[in-house]
Amino acid sequence: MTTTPTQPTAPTPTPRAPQPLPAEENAPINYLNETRGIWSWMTTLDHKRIGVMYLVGVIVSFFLGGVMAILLRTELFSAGPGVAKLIGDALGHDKWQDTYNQMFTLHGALMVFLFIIPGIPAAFGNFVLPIMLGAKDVAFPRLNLFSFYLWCGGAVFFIAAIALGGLDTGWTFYTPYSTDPASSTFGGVIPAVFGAFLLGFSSILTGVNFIASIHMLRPKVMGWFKMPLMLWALYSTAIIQILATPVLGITLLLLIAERAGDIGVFDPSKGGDPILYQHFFWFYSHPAVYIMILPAMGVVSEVISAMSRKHIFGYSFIAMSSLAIALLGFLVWGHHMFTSGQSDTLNAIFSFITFFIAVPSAIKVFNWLATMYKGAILLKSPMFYAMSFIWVFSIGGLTGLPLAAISTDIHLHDTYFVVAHFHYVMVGGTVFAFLAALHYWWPKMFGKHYDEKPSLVAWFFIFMGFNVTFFVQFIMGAHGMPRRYADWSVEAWKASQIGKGLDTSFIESKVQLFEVCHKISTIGSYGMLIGFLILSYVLVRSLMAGKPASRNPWGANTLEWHCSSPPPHENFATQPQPNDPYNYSGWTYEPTLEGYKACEPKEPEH
Amino acid sequence: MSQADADHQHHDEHVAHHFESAGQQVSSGKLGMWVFLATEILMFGGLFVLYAVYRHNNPETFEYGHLLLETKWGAINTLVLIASSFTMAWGVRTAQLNKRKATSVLLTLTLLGGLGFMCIKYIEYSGKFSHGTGPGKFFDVVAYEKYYNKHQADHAHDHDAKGEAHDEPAEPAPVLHGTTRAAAIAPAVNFHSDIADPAAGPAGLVKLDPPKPKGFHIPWVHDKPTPAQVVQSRNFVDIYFAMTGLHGIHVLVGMGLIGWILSRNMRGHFSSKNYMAVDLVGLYWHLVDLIWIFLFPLLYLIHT
Amino acid sequence: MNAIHGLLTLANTAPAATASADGADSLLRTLTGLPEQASDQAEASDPLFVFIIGLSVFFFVLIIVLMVWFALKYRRREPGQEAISQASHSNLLEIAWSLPPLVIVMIIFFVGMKGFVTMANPSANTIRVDVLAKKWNWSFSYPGTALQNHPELLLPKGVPVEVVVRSEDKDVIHSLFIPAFRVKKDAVPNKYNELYFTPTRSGTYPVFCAEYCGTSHSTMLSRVTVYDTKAQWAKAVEDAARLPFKELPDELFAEWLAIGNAEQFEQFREKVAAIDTEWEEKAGKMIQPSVRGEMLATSHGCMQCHTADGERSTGPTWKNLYRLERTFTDGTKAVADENYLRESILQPNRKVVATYASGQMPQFQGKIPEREIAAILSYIRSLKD
Repeated sequence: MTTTPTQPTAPTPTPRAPQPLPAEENAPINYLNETRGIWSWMTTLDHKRIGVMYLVGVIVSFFLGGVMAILLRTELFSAGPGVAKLIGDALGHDKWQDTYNQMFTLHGALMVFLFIIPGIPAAFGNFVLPIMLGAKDVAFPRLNLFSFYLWCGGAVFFIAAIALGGLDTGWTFYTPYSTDPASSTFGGVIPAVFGAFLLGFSSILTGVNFIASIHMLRPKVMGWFKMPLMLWALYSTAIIQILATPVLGITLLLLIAERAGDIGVFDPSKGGDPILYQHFFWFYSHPAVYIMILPAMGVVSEVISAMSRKHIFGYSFIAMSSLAIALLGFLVWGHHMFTSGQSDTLNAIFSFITFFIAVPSAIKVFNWLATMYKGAILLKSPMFYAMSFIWVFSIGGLTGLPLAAISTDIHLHDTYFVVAHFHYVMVGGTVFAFLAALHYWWPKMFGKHYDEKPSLVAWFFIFMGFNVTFFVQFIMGAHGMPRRYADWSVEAWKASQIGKGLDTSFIESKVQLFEVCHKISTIGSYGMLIGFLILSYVLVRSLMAGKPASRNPWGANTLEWHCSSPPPHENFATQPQPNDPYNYSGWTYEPTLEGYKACEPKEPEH
Repeated sequence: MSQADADHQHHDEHVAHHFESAGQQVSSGKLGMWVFLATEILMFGGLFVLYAVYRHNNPETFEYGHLLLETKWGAINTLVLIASSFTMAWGVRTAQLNKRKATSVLLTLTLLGGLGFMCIKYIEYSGKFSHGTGPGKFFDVVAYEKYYNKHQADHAHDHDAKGEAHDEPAEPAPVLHGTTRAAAIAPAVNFHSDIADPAAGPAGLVKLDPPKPKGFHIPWVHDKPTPAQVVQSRNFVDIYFAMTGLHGIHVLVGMGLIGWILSRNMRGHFSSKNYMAVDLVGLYWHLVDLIWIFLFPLLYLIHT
Repeated sequence: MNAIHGLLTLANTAPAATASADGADSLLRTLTGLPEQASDQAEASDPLFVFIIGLSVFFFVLIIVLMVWFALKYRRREPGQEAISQASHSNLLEIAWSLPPLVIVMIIFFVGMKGFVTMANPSANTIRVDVLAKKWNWSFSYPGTALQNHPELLLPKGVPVEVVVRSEDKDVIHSLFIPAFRVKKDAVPNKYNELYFTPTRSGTYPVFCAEYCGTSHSTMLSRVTVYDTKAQWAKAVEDAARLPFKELPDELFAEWLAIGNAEQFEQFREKVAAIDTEWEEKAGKMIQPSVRGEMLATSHGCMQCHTADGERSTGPTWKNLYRLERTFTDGTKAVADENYLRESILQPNRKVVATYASGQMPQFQGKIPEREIAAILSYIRSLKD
């Protein structure tokens, strides 16, 4: 995969922009073009370029994971062998179910490790964190580049895993399935696990960098409670990254040693404990859910306040709820294991603590609503994506309640209800916030506007497609459709151990329900696909021929809007004076700029 | 931007462009290093938790495992690492004091300490591999049995000469079937049919629990566990290699870093104003040392 | 620890949120997407699920109505329009939207906990089913009956059931999932996981494997048939057990059903061997685990130190040992369930019962296959008054 963007070229004025903007608004010489050539990108220490390279990388990963998603949804359009059989025959697989198992494994692993976890913190975090601090770069620029190359290394190992025959362990790599070459027979397990290890390392180093940057590069006038909420979110994320990821690292190394070297740690046939693996895995992977969602919440806090042109409501509550979620996130991993046979006492404790996470989540949602109240809400793409985030995150969060309550979780665990729930939280939450961030910071990153109308069409398809795809999965999950099933047809029942002469009438109505739900879900996923294609068109067109953007098209007051669009190499020509990031009185609308220009700020009346 | 930094008008050549002052750069470096060390501790923390869980759930695994390790080498390695930590700390001090030559000497000594540690580790590891007590697929009870019988024969006269009482049987151990882990845990009593042949009786069962030493006990070199005890200790062997192996990798990384700052020091890159790299590598080296100080008693010394 | 147990007891004694099978109830279940309801577990957890979904709909509608209303009412009508207010905090509001969710989720926790406690604890006079999962099929054994390793689950209505799930040695993790009963339990190699419920509606319902286990995960299916009465169930079990012995004369089959110990089994085998060696072989394969366990216990030499009649010997007696609370030499206590008994066979010196000497019994770790352990455990369980 390529890690350097094919764009951008010099922002030459296009016919669509008759009046070039002044240089302090839209800098002709900026971080994108001050040096040229692939080499200058590959060796860059500029956090903005690294952020853009991450952005390209995670978008490519999202595309690959999306291809897998479309393939597996196509397979699930009807029960029985379908597209998986075609691909499986081409690849020489014995059974088409193996091909399907590979599809969902690769979809999950690519999306989780290569896209969602680095998505917002590494791409947008890298870009905006130093500028929001008014700094020239992150604390350790070389380390930053190194962690980007670690990310590339992880990606290469994932590609190698696909080339070496793929893997069918599920993204969770549960033992003893993953450690026993007789069970997971494909050759890609070790490269993929090692790839995940490298990606974890990359994530750790990004976390170290962010923590050091926020502590050390913060200007003295910017106290902790004067930071933009995005920084609080990234700080909370970094805490999880540095404290949880190492445990995943050692777990994955042990898994490799066990599979390749036959040591006995997790495999019961070698004297190991498979439940211990699950504890170790979820000790990372549950907090990792908050690596995915906390930066998303940070983005939404920024976007909603700026687009409503109103001071964020309940600043300290939003900031502290980020920290609370990060810390509580460490104490709830066992709720993934209610049916594993762990002790009842553990089940009770994990269920109890899990419910507390509902409170900081509710605080955030209500504070965002209160921010919108009596604002001047600009209904443009970033705001649509941010409101979509509230929509899907509310559904995702509320459907977490029956999964946190033990007695109802027992039924719902490992069904499509869980699949729908975590897609609402992770895809709904993270992807919609990612898209909000992309549309919000796009003018800043590339100095170009995109066309609003086709962008809203893309939003409509993505939002509707997403809900159609995943809402029906709640229904079939509650009806008992287990996840990771290649097939649910009557034929599958006939192929089972009780199949000989089976009277299938007891299952027919269920099979029909599953069939209808899967069909609707697949149709929804095609809707999302159309939306993403339109979105790609909109953004590529913006890069090619977008109208130049001014320094502050939204009138926001976090420091990244104080420098030109795109920012120069060292971010600020003159050092900005940070004040309350959510006091918008210092910016007034200027029609010729299609944006805001600075004026004398007023003290906000409280 | 702040008043305190205002006097730093000219930018120090050692200070990266995005830092205001050398002080800010050093503080950032230190903070970053400490945060990174926290991640290292959590990474080893996973292994320590694994150790604790295993010790609690499978105490018999730890009963004889430590007998495979030679306390002598572990103790020497502990001293070597502590000494190298001392020379490292001293090296940081001399770097602060602008004593370039002394720093070079001390860093070289530290590097030699790391090298010595790895050499001793090599001696220990190669012995384990050749005696059939390697990790995972290198675990081979038959190979260990040969080694054990030879060892017992070689040391039989020692026992007589010293007149020590010993738990271990002097005669060769009963032959165990199979060579690999899978064979070692396969049933010694072979029930191929679903119904046991009552005539088979309890034959083939080895009584595995001889009276065991209690409390703190430093075993002599020639106290070797019997092959049956080694079969019981195979998960200990795996954990030993996982923990010391990961630690060994950290020692190697540390040696690479020390080599790097040593060469930079010889080229005169450091001064009393700019010795951050030495300081940070020192922190890392101390952590590596500290982890060994936990590993040594957990693996070599404590048992029942 | 004590606090948790206190909470458990509290949750257990709280008045049950009873669910009647009336029309409104089943309509609500249908609306919230739940399948047919066929166990006490389903009756206990469904009202909670319906309540949570109702609550979620309320909060979701509240949030979305507010969001859309604000977005429309306060939308920016012209560029440069400023917000009406810059209000930025209100502690009263924060408390107003933090405390109610906290109270609600705590209620949900307690009700969920209560439902789980009934699922995790045995009632008296249960029917036991041993479930063995392997790639990729289920086998259900019915201790105390002649039906072993049956591919289907057969249960009577209204009788508490105790299901013990494990996975084959050297296999992977599976999970027994019966949506109609709202129960699920992972089958883990070398571990015995228990599950309790009472079927409340007769009929046939699907059984799934819910933990991903490889190629044929999606065909690792079975079904459960619930019979109206215990007598019907016993008849069905007997009929199923008869299948391998279709040709066996009725009186011999009746004798086969009545086998309760190794001695009777030997007599039966001799009798059958005289007629047909194929039946003898089948009898050997189909024998009850408890009888096989008795034979294995003798052949392994267990009975040299353990007794089956309550007498104290070198080791504790096996009579009434199952689920007995034991006190160990170090003062700790544990219930002698399957996992403890298995551990005590493999590593007898880990937990030595007080008043018995340590180091008397050889370790069987690596010397006894898991299926033989299962048979011996079955024998120990059968030694109950």
